[in-house]
Amino acid sequence: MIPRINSDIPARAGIGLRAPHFETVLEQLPDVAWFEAHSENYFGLAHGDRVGGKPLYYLERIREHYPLSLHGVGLSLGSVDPLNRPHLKQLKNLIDVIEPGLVSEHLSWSSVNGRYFNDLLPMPYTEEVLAHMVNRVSATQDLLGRQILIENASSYLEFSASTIPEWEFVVALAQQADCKLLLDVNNIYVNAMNHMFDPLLFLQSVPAELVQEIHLAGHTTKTFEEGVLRIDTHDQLVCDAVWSLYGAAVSRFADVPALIEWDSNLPPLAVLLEEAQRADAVAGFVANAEERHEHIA
Amino acid sequence: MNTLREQQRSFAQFIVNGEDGGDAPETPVLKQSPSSQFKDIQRLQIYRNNFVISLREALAGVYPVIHKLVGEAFFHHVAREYIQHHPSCTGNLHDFGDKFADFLQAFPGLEALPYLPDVARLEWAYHQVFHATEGEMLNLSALDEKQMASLTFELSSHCVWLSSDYPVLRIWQANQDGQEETTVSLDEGGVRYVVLRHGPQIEFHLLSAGVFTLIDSLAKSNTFAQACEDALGVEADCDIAVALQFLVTQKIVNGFSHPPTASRTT
Repeated sequence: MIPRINSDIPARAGIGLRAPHFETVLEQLPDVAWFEAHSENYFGLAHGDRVGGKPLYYLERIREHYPLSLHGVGLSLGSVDPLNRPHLKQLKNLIDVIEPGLVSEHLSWSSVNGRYFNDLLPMPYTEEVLAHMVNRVSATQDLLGRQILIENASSYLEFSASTIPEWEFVVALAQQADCKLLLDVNNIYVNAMNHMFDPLLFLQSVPAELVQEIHLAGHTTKTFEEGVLRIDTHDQLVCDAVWSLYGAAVSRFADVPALIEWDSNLPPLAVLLEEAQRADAVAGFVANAEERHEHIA
Repeated sequence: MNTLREQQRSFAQFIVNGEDGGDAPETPVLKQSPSSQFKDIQRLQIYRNNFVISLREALAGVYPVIHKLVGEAFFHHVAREYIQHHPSCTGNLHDFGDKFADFLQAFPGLEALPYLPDVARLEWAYHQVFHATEGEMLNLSALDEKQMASLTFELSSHCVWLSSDYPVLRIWQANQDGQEETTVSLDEGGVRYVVLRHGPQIEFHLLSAGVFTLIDSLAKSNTFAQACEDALGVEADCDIAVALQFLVTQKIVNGFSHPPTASRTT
């Protein structure tokens, strides 16, 4: 058996791994630093104790050549339902098999009384909700026996009940639950446009040491009679405004891995590779510019 | 936590029922944006649409042949009803859709396509096998005939065996992408088959009545002797040696156990 590559995720751009690309990745072994897999796709069905299936067959082979991160979309951390133990058990089993460099989940909820909506639904930001999230993230980390990253979600509404700005909420959560952050720059931009705040203020409010990963994705701008909404569709190229924001993020959070997410209307792998190269180029340019700046100063 | 509980409950209510949930659905109170005139309902409706579309697409992903056979419009209709009657109950979207065959069986308007539920059973079996852990190859060489007779077998989760009164395997094959148009006659009759996985390869194997019964009987924890008797009862010339070889090489049987030893008196 080929020895596995080290699990550490390098501070370069990776690509979200999708089933239609499994075989191409194994045939071409493209020059990309790492891949991120959606954890639930490798669980097998219905609360089995063993993970498995054709997706895991491919993931284990891809893991021999690349570091992987596991990105969950179904844990429903923000829900008031009891923490989903069978789900966590499946995740733990998958972690044991894959040895991911990073494990992440979302600041969102997706279930009520055991009924799942399988979506990343928005949370109000209050002290009460913060305490709830801190408990849930802490319990998850205890059960998994490792630190996780929490990702800021996109949203199309804000609750009147919210008393804390989103950026203060995510920072407080990371500090109090002792987790790290996965900053989705596209989600920051989508929310900034939808809810009228300065996306740079979000970035500047987050202490650099809390950020261990950045997400980049494409979104859709929808115009209605009542106004414009940005919808987080993950179905197209990263837009220029988000690339600019990524530049600002790289300048603030140096040496952090970035990930190109593309989930529907999936293009050929080559398009994702180009996006990853662009992310590396932006990061390299920012680093060089800062060096030049230091020389001049 | 009561505020959050209440907020999530009413949010969920809207996602599931939309504006039909009552004349004035009780919804969470939202902030008004200074830059737009969206009503609360419109913003919530985006989540309701996402919910319906993502579950419908998950269903269409598992049941592409059903989707093709009933057409897009009808599939949307039946999917919407299914989502209402059989909610998703795990955080893994791949678990969703397990009761779709039975649901189609009872669904009004599909009487003209009586084979549809069995095609759905085939598609769910394929999906189960796709996500199942592969079995291990058994070594039975150390056992003699007498020992074999009293064994019970454990069947692997990577295989599903089914039978239908309709030629569902041919219907399924004829409706795969890239297949040339063919006609499948229902007069071709029924089929017994097993779906299983070898690595990335998912395979269908036709089964005789005897082999089908042998597997079915072993799955009920009957002894090998009993299962053979059942198999020979439906197919007198069923070749048990060949059948057993098939069960082992296809990893359909995954483990075995000896009968509990009778308590001895001393």
